[in-house]
Amino acid sequence: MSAWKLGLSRRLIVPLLALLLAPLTALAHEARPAYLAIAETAPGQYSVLWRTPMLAGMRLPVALQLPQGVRDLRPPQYDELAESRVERRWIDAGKGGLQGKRIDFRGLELTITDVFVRIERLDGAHSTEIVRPSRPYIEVPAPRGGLATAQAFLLQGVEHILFGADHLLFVLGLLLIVKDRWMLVKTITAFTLAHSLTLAAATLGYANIPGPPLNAAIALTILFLGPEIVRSWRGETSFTIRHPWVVALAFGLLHGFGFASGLTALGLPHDEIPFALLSFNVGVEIGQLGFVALILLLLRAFKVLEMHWPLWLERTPGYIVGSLGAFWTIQRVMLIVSGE
Amino acid sequence: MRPNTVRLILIGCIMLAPTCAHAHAQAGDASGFLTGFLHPLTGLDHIIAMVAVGLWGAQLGAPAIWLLPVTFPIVMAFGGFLALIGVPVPAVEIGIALSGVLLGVAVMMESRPPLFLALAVVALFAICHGHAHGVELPPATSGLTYSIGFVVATGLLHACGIGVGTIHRWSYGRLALRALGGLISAGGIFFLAQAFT
Amino acid sequence: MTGWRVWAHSAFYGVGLILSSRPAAAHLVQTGLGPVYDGVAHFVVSPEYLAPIVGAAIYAGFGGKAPARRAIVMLPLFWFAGSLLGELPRAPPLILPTWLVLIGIGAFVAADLPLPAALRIALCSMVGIALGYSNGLIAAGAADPLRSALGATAAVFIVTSLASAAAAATSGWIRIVFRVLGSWIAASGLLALGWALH
Repeated sequence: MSAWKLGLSRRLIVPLLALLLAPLTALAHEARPAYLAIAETAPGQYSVLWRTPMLAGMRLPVALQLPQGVRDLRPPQYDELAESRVERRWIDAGKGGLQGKRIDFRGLELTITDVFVRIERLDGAHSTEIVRPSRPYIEVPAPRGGLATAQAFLLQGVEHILFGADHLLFVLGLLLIVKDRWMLVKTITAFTLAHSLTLAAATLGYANIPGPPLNAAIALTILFLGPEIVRSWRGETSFTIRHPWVVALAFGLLHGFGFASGLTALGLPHDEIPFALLSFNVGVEIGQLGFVALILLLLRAFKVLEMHWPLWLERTPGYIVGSLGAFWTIQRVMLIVSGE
Repeated sequence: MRPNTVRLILIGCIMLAPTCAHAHAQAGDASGFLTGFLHPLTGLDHIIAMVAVGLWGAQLGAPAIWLLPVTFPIVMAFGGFLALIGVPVPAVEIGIALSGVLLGVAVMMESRPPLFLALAVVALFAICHGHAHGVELPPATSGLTYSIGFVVATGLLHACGIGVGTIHRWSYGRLALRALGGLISAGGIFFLAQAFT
Repeated sequence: MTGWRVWAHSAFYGVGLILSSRPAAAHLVQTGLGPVYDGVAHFVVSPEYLAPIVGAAIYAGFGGKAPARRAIVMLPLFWFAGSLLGELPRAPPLILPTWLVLIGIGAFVAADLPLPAALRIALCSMVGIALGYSNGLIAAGAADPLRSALGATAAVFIVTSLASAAAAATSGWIRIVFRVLGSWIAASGLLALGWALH
């Protein structure tokens, strides 16, 4: 146990993890995916909904390019909402429909945005796929089963947490405070339970917190951990240091709402939600446990090698948690105040 | 015990790291790795020979048990290299089929030739297998990822053989191993017959 | 605080400050996180970088804990330096052939060559700077080469730490497993050479 103590609070490494996280100050906002829904309304005819996220009034520089030979049945409609831009089209793709044809997302390769594509056929069969910047197009497939949909949401869940620097930073902060294995298990379990609960509640529509205050509150949870980490360095104690799982449980509720915003941003139709929710949640847990395992393995590696980092390097991760938490809190509060 | 577990986890991570990486790789790379990985697993003649190498190594014990899996991939790659630069190796298919028969017999008889002889035999077969695969490498996939997948799959087949071969320490296990060797040589004879027809 | 510490402090936080002082770009989806993650991703999915780094780290770890400790610092550091050099405008396109790197490193690991610690570190540093340089050449065209280099360096650091610690902590048959890994690397390199000449 004492070795564990050494491992977490004193031998704390991660100088390069620190470097990795350092440039993220500016990145409080996660990359929200774009959404393309295509529904067949009559043989060969489709209604198309193309929604791209707007961030601070900036449009996503991605253009939807439908296959050649597609003609509009009605003039397209464009709506600019607060957080997204919605384009609606009604098209006729000819006899064979869209199946086997290619839809391009021009400009996607220059972004880090994923596109969720949901395609519904006339007989009600539907499929959901994710298009990534590395392959900025989709070939409209024959409908697939639930397994592929589950896989898509699972991956999205993994990505959501791994790319969500604020959630990872909160977990890192908890790891810096936690003193032994048992406490670690309790804390991570508490965090998992709490965020799964609110993720489900928010996705199913039982509870909701508007985005800007939620983001500020999440930043605040990270900021909260900063002083606690410093306290644990000084050998002092506090409620958080004695019972980090309680903090993880309470703040986990907030982070769950954050995950939910990531899921609902995908704009899913209702019949798919429970299934998608489960896959997404499992994905989030896989990502979280992977991150925790990576940190623990690194610590273990340094312990095996009897690595001694200079004190300032050891403490850098703690400073990063605190200062990024503070930065994000200020930034997000400013966003609320300025009414963006 | 505990440090060992940790070590195993660490090793597991290191070994899996490339695999995980490939799962997320760009389409071309990933398919290259997968094709390469699956390729040795599609031909039963290759599978039985590779497993037999592991079994035999386990029977022979140190140092063959580790010399074989360390040297085999390199020698096999050399065979593939020869194929890639266009150096012909005669009777490759027959060599592959023979390898199954002879390695199977070696396992069945628990034969213990001098180490260099065992190595030379295995090396010869390794070149045949490598050469055949070198010829079969599909175009349009990334050569490097294909090669890695191919080498890794072959190595894992060895590992299977060695893993199964650990039953060698029990008397029933030894018997079972020899029976397995007989089975492998029977399979080898079947492939040999195919190679001639 | 001694002199070098002050410098180290200032340098570290200075870099952090420079990197984080780009609020104008903060709200653009395509900026920020992207380059860092791109750097990580590119390294992790490129076996021509990943395999030699893992191999070099294992080889350092074979030498014991002391060389492993130094490899953890030197390899990423030289990688980063190499990346910066490679990202310079008009950096000459000097790229070590992948097959050479793979065969070389793989052979060292497979043979478990008993070299002195200093040479192991030197090997790691050379691998780091050479591969970092060629990675830098590629990353130079990216949107934000510096952050991409940082991301890749972090990944190199993590991989190096895990691999060399695992190798340093092992003896007996598990060491053989690592040597087999080395032979796989060398074998892949040999096939890569075949492809190059094909």
